[in-house]
Amino acid sequence: MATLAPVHDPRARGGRGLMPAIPELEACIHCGLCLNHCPTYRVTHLEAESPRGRIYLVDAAAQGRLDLTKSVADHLYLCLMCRACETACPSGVQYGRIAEAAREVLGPPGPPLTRMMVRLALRHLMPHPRRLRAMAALMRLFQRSGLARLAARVLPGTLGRRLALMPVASPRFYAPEAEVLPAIGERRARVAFLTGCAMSMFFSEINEATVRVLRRNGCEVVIPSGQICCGALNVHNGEADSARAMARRNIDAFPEDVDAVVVNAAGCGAAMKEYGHLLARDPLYGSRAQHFASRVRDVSEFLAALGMRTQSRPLSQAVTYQDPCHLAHGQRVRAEPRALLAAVGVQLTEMAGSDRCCGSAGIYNVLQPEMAETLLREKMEAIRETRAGVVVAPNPGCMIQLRYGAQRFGVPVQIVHLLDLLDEAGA
Amino acid sequence: MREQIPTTGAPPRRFGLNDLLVAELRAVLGDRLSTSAAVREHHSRGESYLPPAPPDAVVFPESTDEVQQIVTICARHRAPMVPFGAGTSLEGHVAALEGGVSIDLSRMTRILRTSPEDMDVTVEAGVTHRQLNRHLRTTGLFFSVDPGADATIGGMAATRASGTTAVRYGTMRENVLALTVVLADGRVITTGSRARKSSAGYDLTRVFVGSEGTLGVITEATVRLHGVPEAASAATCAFATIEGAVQTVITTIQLGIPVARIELLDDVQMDAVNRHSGLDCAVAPTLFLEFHGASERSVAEQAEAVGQIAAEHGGRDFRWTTDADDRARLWKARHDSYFAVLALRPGALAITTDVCVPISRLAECIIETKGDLAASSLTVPLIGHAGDGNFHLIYLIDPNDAKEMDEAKRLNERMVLRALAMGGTCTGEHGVGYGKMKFLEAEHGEGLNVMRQIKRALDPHNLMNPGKMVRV
Amino acid sequence: MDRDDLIRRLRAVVGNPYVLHRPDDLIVYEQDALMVARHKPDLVVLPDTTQQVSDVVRLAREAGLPIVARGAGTGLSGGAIPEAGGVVVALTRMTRLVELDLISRIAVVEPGMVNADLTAMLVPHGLFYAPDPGSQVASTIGGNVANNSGGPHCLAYGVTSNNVLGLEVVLADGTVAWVGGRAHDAPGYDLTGVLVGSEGTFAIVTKVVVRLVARREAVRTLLAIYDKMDVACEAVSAVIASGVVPEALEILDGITMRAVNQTLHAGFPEDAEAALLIEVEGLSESVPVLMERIEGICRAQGARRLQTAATAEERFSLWKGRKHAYGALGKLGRRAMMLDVCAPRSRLPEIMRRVLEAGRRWNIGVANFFHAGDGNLHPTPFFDFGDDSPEYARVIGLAEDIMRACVELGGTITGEHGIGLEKREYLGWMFTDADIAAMKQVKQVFDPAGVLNPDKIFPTGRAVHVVSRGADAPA
Repeated sequence: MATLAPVHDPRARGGRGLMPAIPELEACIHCGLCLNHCPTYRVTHLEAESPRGRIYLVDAAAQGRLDLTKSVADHLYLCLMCRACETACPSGVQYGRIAEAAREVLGPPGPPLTRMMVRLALRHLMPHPRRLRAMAALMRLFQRSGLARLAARVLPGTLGRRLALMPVASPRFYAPEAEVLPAIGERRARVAFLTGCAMSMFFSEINEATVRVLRRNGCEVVIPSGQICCGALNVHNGEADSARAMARRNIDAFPEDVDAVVVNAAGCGAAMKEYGHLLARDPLYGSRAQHFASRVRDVSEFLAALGMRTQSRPLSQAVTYQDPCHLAHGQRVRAEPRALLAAVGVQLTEMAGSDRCCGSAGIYNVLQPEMAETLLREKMEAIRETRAGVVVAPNPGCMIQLRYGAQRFGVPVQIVHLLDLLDEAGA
Repeated sequence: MREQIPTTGAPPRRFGLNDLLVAELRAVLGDRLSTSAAVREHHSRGESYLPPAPPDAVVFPESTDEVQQIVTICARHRAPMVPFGAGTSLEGHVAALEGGVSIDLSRMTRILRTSPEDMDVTVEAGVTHRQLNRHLRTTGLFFSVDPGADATIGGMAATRASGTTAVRYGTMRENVLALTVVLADGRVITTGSRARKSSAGYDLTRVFVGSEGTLGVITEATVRLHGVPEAASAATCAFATIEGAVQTVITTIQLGIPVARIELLDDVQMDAVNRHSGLDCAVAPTLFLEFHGASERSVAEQAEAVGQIAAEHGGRDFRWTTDADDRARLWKARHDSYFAVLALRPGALAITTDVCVPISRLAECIIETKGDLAASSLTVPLIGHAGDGNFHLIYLIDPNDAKEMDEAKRLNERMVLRALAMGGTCTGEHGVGYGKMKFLEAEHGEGLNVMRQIKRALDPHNLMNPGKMVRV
Repeated sequence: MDRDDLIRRLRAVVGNPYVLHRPDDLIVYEQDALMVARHKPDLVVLPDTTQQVSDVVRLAREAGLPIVARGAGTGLSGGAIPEAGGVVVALTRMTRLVELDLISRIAVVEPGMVNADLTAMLVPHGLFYAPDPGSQVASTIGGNVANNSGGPHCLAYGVTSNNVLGLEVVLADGTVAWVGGRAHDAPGYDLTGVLVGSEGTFAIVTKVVVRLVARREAVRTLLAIYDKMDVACEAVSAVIASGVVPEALEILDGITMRAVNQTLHAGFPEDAEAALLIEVEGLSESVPVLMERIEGICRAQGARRLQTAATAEERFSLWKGRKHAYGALGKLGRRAMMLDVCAPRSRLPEIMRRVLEAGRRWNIGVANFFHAGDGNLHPTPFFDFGDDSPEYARVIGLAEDIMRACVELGGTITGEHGIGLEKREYLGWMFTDADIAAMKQVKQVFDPAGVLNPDKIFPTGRAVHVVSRGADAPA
């Protein structure tokens, strides 16, 4: 049973607020085995940029020995939230929960202007599908009109470069033909599908492929129109209250009479699997959230369990696999995507450090461009060494980051989603 | 012809024996003290070519307690002390360069505790390794360090002795677990413990092993034992070239084959053996190998594997066997080597040298050295513990011919400097004594300063085997 | 020199980002893996070269501050805790492989190189670095040298000191010195040997020459499951007595295996009191024969079941499970205190009995996972109360009973973790005053002013500071 100290007003102690002494802090016994698994520790070699160090800071704050100053916030926000440390930890410390609790107290990252913009985006854009659609339309306009290209040439340095490599908005924001799409052939399951923000904006064709593959495998697919953004970015960036509101909306929007809630974006799947924890103290939604969370599945998990009907379509190029952090570490799903690839005849060349973060990490690559760039460079080198022509990375953030990386570091490689390959293989 | 004793420039002090000291020592030892010329002469040298330097008196303690009393008395009189085991050292270790008292530990021969289950044994310093192994005969265990001479465990610890089995079982460095030492002021300390692993405090055992009597007198040692292998096999193989032989050694170890002994004899040595023992071996670089294992199959597998490797490197006539008698026959050439060398030039003084290089440079070092030797008039055979990168040359010189001595010294110096340049060391196993002090200085820069400071700290009056190892 | 001045001069040596002085930057260096003591350093510096280490040491000396070297901070005896404040010199940036001689099987590495990373680099060459402490995925070679670290494979290959040929060090006055070399035995006093295990009190290690070992052709790993701990201990003696020396011979108890099972599928049984984890290596034909013999012995000694790792993954899982043992105890209690005693192996059954007795007598749960082949035990009490609780005295009583028992049986109070500050008051249990005086004389040679990692190893007469979770540490 958690006994939490009350969270005071952020300005009460002169710093960013008071950290409650959450029970998850007790599990860390300082063994340090997490250090060398943490991407930011590996780059900086600083204890304060390691999981153990960050836990120590949060713990010291909870004991009242340390004020949550900007300096502390910087250490905590340099963290990618990749949770590789959770995979490494022999004690089962739930680092993600500790970091999220600390970020809830700290609020969004960055200097005041950035904080304000992030807060604005997280509270007033992400929870609203229509506004997202409008923004997508604007992006398409910006990109197709040639303004984007012009801006990229004119703007200086990193900004210009990133603008040039901004992900291309899909021609159409994802919109399913109907709310309920029947199975093709014998019906084996009924699932709900989360369409997702990044997927809908940048990869709507992958959503279409996902639905196709599900239907071809005997799934009736329900795509509730009332669903909204899963709230992952909100939780990770200190906007826990708005995240809770979004979770409640989704729990209401998704039907209960489905075998699973299927997700094709690792970050969203991980976030929704934790709705139970997010709404643990909610008197109304607490147990519903638990129940909802227990039915969330990554599409690869679901298809692997269902048993995919496929045919083998071997690819001519060498293929490697990037484990998205929130799939491998956040959900412990590693074997299933590989099994599905093998089932369609793909022979994988494993990359060294396939489960090490590429630096995307939600909006991290925008807020911490230097660290993200360093990690991306290492990742592209690892990809280069596999001599693969194709990288499978089943998460939109990773795909955007790796595509940018391929261009930025000159690695001739195609980045695809798992469902792209399964769809092509006729699965 | 007297060797110039290396000095700092100041003339060596020479202790003058006084009656009071003798009386005090006699009170402790009775007639186990001698000042006779014969006994002193016997304690003036080891087996090195360096000139003898007799002590003023020799004492024969029979316990740690007596050693403590001796040291306390000598310290009070500022008498230099030289610990003496079996007197088989090769670099002038026991020469009493400043006179003083030779402390002969050869009567401390008790085996204090044998623990077959824990595979260790505690012995007094005067126990020799052959005596120890005879004692262990029925236990299925053996003490693995086997220098050529029947040295005492105390002396072996003091010189960090090695032997032919070092490649698999280690040297004294790996096989000494604990020591009892009487320090220069008479304090008795124990270092280490019987536990196989210990991180408690500083590993002072390491300080004393290899300290060549300059930091204290080792009176007891606890050493590690190994199981007598269930099965053994032996092999020999001649090679077209030294490189082939060395490469075979390198590959064998790289493949993880746990070879127990690998010895390399060069063509000159093989020729000497043929003449002395009437054998008909190929006069070419030859490897002698021994394998230990838990089963016949295991040692056979090892031998076969090495046979294949040897074939790939110009090996000819690879022979191996598991039969005990045949093993002895195969190794006869190696066992007879030293005597064969002496027989080459009866009456000559045999000077054995000793360097060690990383194995990646071994072939190169040997070949360049043999190149030097070919240009000289001397016949110099080579024997190496190839697995460790350690090899010995045996110079046979006419003791009355100063030119030959100079030639040997010149060649040796070149070889040592060559070894140092290749990342090696001036002594693989014989120690420094005083014969190699200048090379020690060449090899260690700042580290030597630390060594000097340790010597000064533990022996501020420079009484323990003065003039050896580190100049103070 | 005042603090700002010192900071400025240190920055000139290592660069601005690598001189840490803010409270949040310093607080994370106040502990290593020992949780019962902590103390903030005055500054933390992260050098990148030997010259920088030397300059930092000189500056710290000039400022009159003690110096505490630190690797990854995974030490369990508080060796890296700056109890007297001062400058923590963290070597974590120095991770280079300086030289690799595949033929002589030697490597020269910087001290911040992570142990497991070194072995990983050597995989393509068929070599590995043998000392494999449980912390190896995080601990650094420099830290291993400071503590003379061990690990399960030390049974066959020796501990750190058997695998280090030479060191480059920075002495207490900033001088850079090399000791040892590349040959297996260097003449003169064995300074390398005495530096290994000196816990940062003699010098700061800036390069390590390590011996590498060739991977054997074949390896087999066996888990032998027992219903009783003392029967398992007897089996250990039987295996060794048979003349086989396995590469590793470990024991895990039921408590540990069940704890590990909660976070990892290592392949451990849920219902056994003890298991032997045995590994043999060698040439491909001999290994199965050897393994059969060991299996026979285990069965003859009453093993309930034998489980051989059939694939490399299974083998890896078993070892991962073994190395997660300490961390897994975090699930059993808020705290754990891992002891590290080593006794002659023949006394193993007896010492285990006394460990279990002590646990019952003091009423504290004790998990056991250890290097049975070496007689090196890690009895680990786990408990929920904080170190400020009066109950904590029971843990100390238990620890003392176990250490005393080991010393009585001819063993040591620490097999591989070092004395640090955790066990300094007990050094006298193992050594006489004369022994300790001799050690202090050697310390005096290396560090006459006593600035390197002060108050470690030797008794101070003060209790190890016990930290409570709510209160602040004294300044």
